[in-house]
This record gives sequence, C-alpha cells and structure tokens, in this order.
Amino acid sequence: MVPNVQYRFDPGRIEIRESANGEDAEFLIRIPDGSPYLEAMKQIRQYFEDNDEITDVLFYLYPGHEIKAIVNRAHYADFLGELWKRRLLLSLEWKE
Amino acid sequence: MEQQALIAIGIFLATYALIVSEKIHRTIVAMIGGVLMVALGIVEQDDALYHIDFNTIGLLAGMMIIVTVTAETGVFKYVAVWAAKKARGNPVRILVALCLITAVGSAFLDNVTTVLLMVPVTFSITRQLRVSPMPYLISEIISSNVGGTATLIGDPPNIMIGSAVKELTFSAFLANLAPIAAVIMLAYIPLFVRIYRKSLRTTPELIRSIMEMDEKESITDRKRLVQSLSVLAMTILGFFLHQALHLESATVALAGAFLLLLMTGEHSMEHALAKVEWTTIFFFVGLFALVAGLVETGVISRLAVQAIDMTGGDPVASSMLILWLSAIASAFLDNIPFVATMIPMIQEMGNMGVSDLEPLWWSLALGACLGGNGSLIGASANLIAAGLAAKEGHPIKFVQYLKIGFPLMLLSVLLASAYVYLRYLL
Repeated sequence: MVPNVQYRFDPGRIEIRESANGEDAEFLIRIPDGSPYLEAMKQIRQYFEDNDEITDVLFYLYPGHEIKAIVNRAHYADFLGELWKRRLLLSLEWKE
Repeated sequence: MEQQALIAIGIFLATYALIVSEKIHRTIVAMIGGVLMVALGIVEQDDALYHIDFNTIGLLAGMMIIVTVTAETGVFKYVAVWAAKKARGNPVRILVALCLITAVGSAFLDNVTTVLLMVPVTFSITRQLRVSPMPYLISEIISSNVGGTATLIGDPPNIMIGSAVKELTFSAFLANLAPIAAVIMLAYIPLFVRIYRKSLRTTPELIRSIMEMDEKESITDRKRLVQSLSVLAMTILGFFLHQALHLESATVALAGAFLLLLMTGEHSMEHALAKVEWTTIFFFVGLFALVAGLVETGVISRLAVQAIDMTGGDPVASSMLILWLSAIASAFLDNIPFVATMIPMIQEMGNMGVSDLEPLWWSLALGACLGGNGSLIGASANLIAAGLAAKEGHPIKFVQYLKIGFPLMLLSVLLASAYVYLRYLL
C-alpha cells in the first residue's frame, strides 16, 4: 500500500496520471513544451538519479516531454515531496 | 626463517583471513595490516611508500573521474535505451546487448566502473519489462570480468601487472588478451541465452513501452557530452601511445581527468572527486604496504624458489600452474590481494634465471581476471554488483551465483590454457 497522501496540481502546469505498477506506484507526467517547469522536472530526475540512498525511483523518458516514473512505495512521499518543493504540486498533505 | 619474516607472514595471513571472512570491511583490514607492517618495524615507512604503486592508484582515480563526469551527461543511459530498442524490446536480445555493452565498456573504462554504471540501467529496463533482473546481473558480472581481461585498464589485476612490468604496454595487453577474451565472450553468449531464455518473458504492451522511449531525452548536457567523450577518446588514444610518449598510463588517465575538470568547472570537480571510490583506492594502498612486508623480509623470494622447484623451471608447467592456481585462488579470494602477492613472486622467478616471463604474466592476468568469475567474492566488480543488487531488494545468493559462475569460469580457463599453450609455449 502506498502512503495515504493527497496532492493537488495545476493541470495547466503539469498533467499527472497515477496508477499501480505491481507493488509500486507509476506516474505518467507531462509538462507543456516551453514551460519553465520542464527544468524543474529535469532537476527532480537528476536528484533521484544521483541519489545513492533512494535508488528505487526510476524514470523513463518519452517524446513530447512525457515522463514515466516508477516509484517504490517506500519513497512515494519522497517523490511527491520533490514535486511539491519545485512547485509542480500546489499542495501535499497526509490524509487522516 | 627469521623472526621478522614470521611476523610478516602472521600479519599477512591474519589480514587475508579477515578479508575473506568479510566481517570487517576489506579496506579497513588491509589498511590496518599495512600500518602494522610499518608500526612493528617489518618495513620502514619510506620502503612501504616505495611499494605503493602510484601508477595503479593514479590510473584508477583518473578513470573514475573521467567516467563520473561522462556519466552525468546521461550517455550511458542513452546507450542502454538505444540498445534495448535495437533489440526490439525482446528480453533475451536485451540480455545479449547488455552483456556485450558491459564487456566492451569493461575493456575500455574498467570493469568496476562499468558495473557501477550498468546495474542501475539494468534495474530500470527489467522493471519496465517486469522480468527478473537476476539473469541480467549475473550475466553482466561475468561479462565484465571477461571484457576486463582484454586490456591493461580493464580489470584491477591487469592494471597492477601492467604497472609492474613496463614492457607490457596497453597495446601488448590488447594484442595478447583481447583475442582470447573475445573467444570466451562468443562462447558465453549462447550459454547465457540457453540458461535464461525460458525465464525471460514479457508482454507486447511492456515491449511497446520500451520501444516508445526516447533515448535522446537521456542526454542532460550536450556541451559536456562533447567535452567528456572527446577527453575519453583522447585518453584511450593516450593509452595506446603511452610507451611511445614515454608516459605512464596513470599520467595519461590523470591528464585526461584534470583536463576534463578544467573544462567543466569547480562544482563538477568537487562532485567528481567525491564520487571517486576511495575505499577501493585505500584497499590498494593497504595491500601494497602489506605485500611490501613480505618482499622486504624475503618471504616472496622463498615462495619463488619453491615454485621453481615444483615446476623445475619448465615454461609449460610454470604457466599452467600460475594460470590454474590464479584462477582457483581468485575464485574464492579477492583477486586483487592475490595478484599483489604473485607479481613480486614472478619478478623473483625472473631474477632466479627463468628467462621468458611473458607467458607467466599472461597466465597470471588470465587466471586472476577469469578466475574472478568463479564465485560472488572473486572480484571487485562482483562484490559491487551484488551490493547494488541487495540495496535494490534483489540480493544475489552466493550459491545461486556459484552454480552459473563456477562452471563458466572453468570453461574460460580451459580455453585460456589452450590459448596460452598454442600461442606461447608450443
């Protein structure tokens, strides 16, 4: 089970579709061409790819700036936290 | 035997036992062993420093810096995705492609670094295809040791041998070891396919998700990519020419590394230096000091005399003894300390009148590098891959690896024995 977390985003800024991938969570992310948030997404990718501790957040790159991220449930909150820190999410909260 | 020699042997054996037991990190054990050799007066500090081979350490550090900066451009991910697409997303063809990339990468970058780059990419692709990463990891470990056998910079034992014997240049390693390494890879690839093909099944939908990926998006910095690949190409060219240029291979690697850092700037330097595998570097420092104790007290000379007595100085018997002893020992001990001990012994055999040492050096290189495939603890690349796999939740079991690695290692050493005999001893 992924943690009980609720998030909101601006669909004009980013499109996020989340689904289950086995025991992991899979995010399909699309950011419009020319958006300044493309750089933010690149930084998030680099953050996880350079991270020697969190090695279970994997990125797959598709044409048209579409990114698939397969995120281990242990790092679900870490991944969303990075999106929020770089303003790709409007809000992020624990659901009681 | 005098007391100093007995103390040196005691320190050496205790250190070796602790390295094999894996209860304490091998770098800490090797460094304490080396420091004890100096602290107990077995060797003077200056003598210990003289035995620490800067060429081995400088070459490793230089290549680690170049590869770290190059990896940050995303080029290795690009190559892996490109290969997976060329393999049409088929898991078996991807296995073959990743093994070949690992073997070639190991030959020209070194196998430890190549495994560090390939394991995360392998997890990424196998997760996408929802197939077990284990067949890929085991095949890549084996391919890294075979590919690493082919060149002077490919595997730590070769770096050490090339550094100790000035006549064995980069080109000499390539000319003498690359042919047999290629033959062994050609023999292994169909075996990998045969062993694993039934377990590598995926769905057309998952294959499509691989085929739709855009490898060009992996490249994060095109300017740096051009800089890194140019410096890497110049460095490899430098290895080919190092004897003609009267430069050691470490000088070539360090020149390349710091030229690249000059181009990429201070921030890149701090990151690249932080990513150098200092634990491996200090492991070498400790081992060199440790072996210095055995050399300075005459233990190595006595071992050389015994080896000559055993074989009667016969080149065929000496070469086969070194090849098989190195292979079996390297399968169950780390091959780096084994080679550190064998190098002065073969040099001593030369001092004692064995005229043609070349077959012995190639036998040592082949035995130590290929023997590393025999078990999970046989080589640094194996240990690093196993560590990364365990971190990802896929621990490679010792016996699971042994069942594949040991028979394949025996096959490769048989092929190598025939090669050494036909090429150097007939």
